[in-house]
Amino acid sequence: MDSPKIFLLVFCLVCLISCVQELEPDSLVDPVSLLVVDGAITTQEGPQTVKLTLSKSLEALNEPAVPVSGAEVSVSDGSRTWHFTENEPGIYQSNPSMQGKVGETYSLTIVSEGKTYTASEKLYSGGDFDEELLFHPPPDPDYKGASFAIIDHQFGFDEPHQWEVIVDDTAYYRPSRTGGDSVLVEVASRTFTYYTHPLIEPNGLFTFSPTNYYGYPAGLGITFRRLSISGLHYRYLRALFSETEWRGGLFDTPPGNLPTNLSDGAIGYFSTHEVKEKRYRVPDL
Amino acid sequence: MEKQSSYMELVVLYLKMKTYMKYHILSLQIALLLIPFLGLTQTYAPKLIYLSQGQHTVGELLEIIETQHPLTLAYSKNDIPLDSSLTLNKQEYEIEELLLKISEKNGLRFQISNEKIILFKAPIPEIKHVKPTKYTFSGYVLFQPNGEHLYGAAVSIPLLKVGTYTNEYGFFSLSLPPDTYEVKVQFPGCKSLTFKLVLDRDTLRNISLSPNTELVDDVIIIADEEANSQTLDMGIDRLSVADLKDMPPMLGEADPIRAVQLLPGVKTVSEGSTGMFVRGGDMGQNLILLDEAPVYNPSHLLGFFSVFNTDAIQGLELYKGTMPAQYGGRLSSVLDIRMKEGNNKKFEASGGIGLLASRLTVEGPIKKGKSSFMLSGRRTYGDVFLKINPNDGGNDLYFYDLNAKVNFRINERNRLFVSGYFGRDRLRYFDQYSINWGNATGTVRWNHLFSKKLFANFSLIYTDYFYENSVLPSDVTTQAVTLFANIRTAGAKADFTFYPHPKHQLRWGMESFHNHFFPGDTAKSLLSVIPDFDGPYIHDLETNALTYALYLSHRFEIAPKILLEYGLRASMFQTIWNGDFTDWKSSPKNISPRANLRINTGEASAVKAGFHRNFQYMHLIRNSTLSFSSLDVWLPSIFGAVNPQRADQLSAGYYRELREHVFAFSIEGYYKWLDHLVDVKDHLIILQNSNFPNHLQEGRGRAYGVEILLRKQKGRLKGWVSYNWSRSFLEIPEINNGQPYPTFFDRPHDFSLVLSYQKSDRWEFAGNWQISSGGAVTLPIGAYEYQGREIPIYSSRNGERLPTYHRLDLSATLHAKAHRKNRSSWVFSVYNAYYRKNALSVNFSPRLGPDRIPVTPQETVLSKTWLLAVLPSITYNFNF
Repeated sequence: MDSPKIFLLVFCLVCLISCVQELEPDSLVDPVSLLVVDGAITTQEGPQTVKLTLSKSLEALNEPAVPVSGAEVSVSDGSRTWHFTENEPGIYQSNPSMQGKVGETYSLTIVSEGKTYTASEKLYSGGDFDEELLFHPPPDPDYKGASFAIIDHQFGFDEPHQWEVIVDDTAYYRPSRTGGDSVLVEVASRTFTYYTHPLIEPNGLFTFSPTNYYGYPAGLGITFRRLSISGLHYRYLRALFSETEWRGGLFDTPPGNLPTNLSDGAIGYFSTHEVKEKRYRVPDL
Repeated sequence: MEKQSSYMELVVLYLKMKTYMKYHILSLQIALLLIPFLGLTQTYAPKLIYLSQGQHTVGELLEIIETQHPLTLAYSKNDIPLDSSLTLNKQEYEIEELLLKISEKNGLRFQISNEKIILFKAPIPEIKHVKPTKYTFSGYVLFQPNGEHLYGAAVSIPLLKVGTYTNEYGFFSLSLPPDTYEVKVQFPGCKSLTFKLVLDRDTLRNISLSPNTELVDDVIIIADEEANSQTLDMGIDRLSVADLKDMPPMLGEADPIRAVQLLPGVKTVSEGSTGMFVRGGDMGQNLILLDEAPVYNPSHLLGFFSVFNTDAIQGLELYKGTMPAQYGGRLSSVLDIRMKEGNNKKFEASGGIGLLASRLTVEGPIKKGKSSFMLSGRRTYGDVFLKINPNDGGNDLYFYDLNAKVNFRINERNRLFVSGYFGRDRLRYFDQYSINWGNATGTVRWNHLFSKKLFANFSLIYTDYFYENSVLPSDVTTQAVTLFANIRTAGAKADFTFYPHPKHQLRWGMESFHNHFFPGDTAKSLLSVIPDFDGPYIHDLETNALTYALYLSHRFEIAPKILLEYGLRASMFQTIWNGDFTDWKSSPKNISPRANLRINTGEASAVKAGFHRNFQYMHLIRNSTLSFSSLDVWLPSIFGAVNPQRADQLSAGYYRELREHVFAFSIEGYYKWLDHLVDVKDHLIILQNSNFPNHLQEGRGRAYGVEILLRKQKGRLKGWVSYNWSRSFLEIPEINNGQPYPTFFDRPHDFSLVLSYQKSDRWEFAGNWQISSGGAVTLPIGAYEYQGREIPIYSSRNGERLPTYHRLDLSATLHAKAHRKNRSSWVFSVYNAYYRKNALSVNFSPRLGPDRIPVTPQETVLSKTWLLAVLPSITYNFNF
């Protein structure tokens, strides 16, 4: 028995013999129906998107959210105003030329069912993008390529960021759960998302999520895209993670509704991001 | 004049120290504390005679007395048989004791007046002397097998219906008219002792009680327990080590706090945890003392075990009702745990080997009958298995602790105790993070008898708790970040008990402590991202503070059936922040009154009522709703939003013993008003969040309940059944829209059954079963979708309940055959015997497939998390 297995055995025996059991949803009070906003302005050129849906009851979990159609959506930077168009039910988009600028404050206005909802958010810079990606030798010594790790949440960084890793063409990856066996699978191009955090979050650390090492052939192109996160938006995301993937551990934080920058009872968040990209070529290690 | 001079010198010294040693607060406190006692120490000096053991003539002995002390001996050579000899078996006698021996042997009498001794034959010559109307019978009650002091032993004179209890150091004192009395001494678990006392002078005597564990004709010799209805105790529970070891252990480790959790009025919130919540109070409102030193975090192994090693402790008291005036600084309870003193008669070793940990305790005399030591250690060994594989990834998981104590009986009037605890926990998870934490305590105590009616204890106390949480540097993770936090307390106490009369007892004292709060340390740059950050950085919260307290209490038997104890505790909290002392005027100062009244309604029944007010100047800011507190933060009352907490408690109860004290029944009710309580906003994280004091919210609370306890304290089958109905609420303007909400440890119904059965001298069985309301939780009432995630929507804080909690633990103990010299035993135990999956929390989580991996596409479900399945264990305990 290798070390990780012994560790897990001891750890489980001693203190963390825990299990998660699914419960039947039980409506405790009348289901709520609130306007949900999921919108962002980025420094990337292209249509900016605002998604409007309704909240749902517990019985409707995992069912698609009901889109909110027929709303008037506009975004202003104080001097210009962009009117968004509903291209799909509940999906409102600006014209392709709209591009956010660092330092500007963007105000969202939504008129739906006779009510007006607003939100305002400044677009902050995410700083220099000077981090280098560290590649490791591939799991198979005969393989020409390299690997790197993806951890959904990483702590102790100077600033919080959202990261998207876009891998070109076909590749193979090796999901390696802690103590588990490696599996080689051919996949198509895909995008991974992960977050870096400035603070140590005990509930995030103690979710015991595995570190996935991904291997790629030499010469493959990999794009790292970094999105800045404002302080207020980070608080929203922190609460969001505390309520989702970080929930249920030994260091749970007090539960509660997520903060928002939206007015008049709307929930969700209207965010702004500076986007920076860096492209790597997988070396032959 | 000499005394005054010494006093002035010390005052000058104090002022000099104040000027030049601004930060050496502890020294100042000790000096300040000792000043009032300098005069007192010169008021009583026992006259001791030192001589060789063996035969001496009366003439020789009188000469020795005259040689060693400037006394005038008056006697007639015709009346005194100077050549008569007697055998002495000690080398040290008090002068009165020696004269008594001489007199008894030769039919003489003696009188001492001023510096004159008159030795004579009857009739008594008249001298100018006022015969005392009362003499004092005082001494220590000891446990016969090992010579340790017994706290709470009852010493009574049944004929007069008067009595008293030994204090924390086993001392008692009774002042009575000269006469011959029958004295009865009782202590739970010991055979009661009755003896005749001829009280014709002040008498100091050590009384030894033997244990009552023998089996005779299949009938257990039982302790003659002191009836609870006859004590003033209310809201106080005492557990001996035998009680603790009678209960089924978890993974072979008997745990004092886990035993306390089974008492009415004490609750916990998560499975297997050693966190405790007393009468609606939070964990940080419990004053946990180990030999008088506060223990700030009593947790080992993420809170599943407490730091108290049962092998190293003598017993514990839990004060959940009216606290005696000598205790303060916490709102809800005092858990007073005393370490063993060590066997002063013979060397002993005991220990155990279990699945989780092993223990070893050695104790014995340093000088037989005079001094002893105790050394006890415990360590888990999960990490040892991990090290078998050299590529273990650096994983670690272990704890260890060490208890040590020495005590010296310098003479009958002076005793010295030195004790300490040291424990560490370490958890390292691969290359990702590590957590280390630990407590260290130290206590030096000096017991001194100023007179046979005035007992004093002086203590120097130190305690330290720290944790260090690191995200480790790694090529696949992040930069290294380490958070270190610490709280340290050092100070001195002086405590006096005066026994002027059997119906009166006065206790007073003072204490002064220096507290160092270090809530955490991290780099400012980590916080630069938060644009609206306006609070102090976390390392700026480092604070020093002084706490002072003076107290006085009076126990007074108003009438034969009415006993009253009342007292006052005055306290002050002075902070030092960034080098600045808070001046005396603006430092919080408070008076805490308290009173307890007992009225006997029959030979074995009583009603009692009590009231107390308490203040607390430090706050445990909790990171989580679970019991594990290793990473929580202690904060002083300094930062505006964090004012001193206050609690008023009113309680009353009825107590009755049934069937010759075989059963004890009690019902107690209480109501508590709490103010300036602190709770945290939703999702607040404390670790490395220097802004968290700005997010603390202050409000008030209410707690009330009824506790019913029926205890069977004698016979083969012993134990208790208890039921507790209680509620506790908080009302904080910024939380739950300002509406009152239940605390997360609010569990209205709580029932416990604790039994042990001694089948024979070899087999013993025990079990406990608990059932209680589920904890109050905040549950979702709906959800919304954001970037592919299902986000819960909540209604009110702690507005719903987890499913009912219940659990059965069992154990069987097989002792070695009685005739064997080395008494060993095997303990077989099962925790959670019928595999109840008690919910720890209910929340949203990804739906898992058969391989326990989230299904794709991801789905969210409402799920409950539970801890600890059936945990069987085997432990081998030895004693030789």
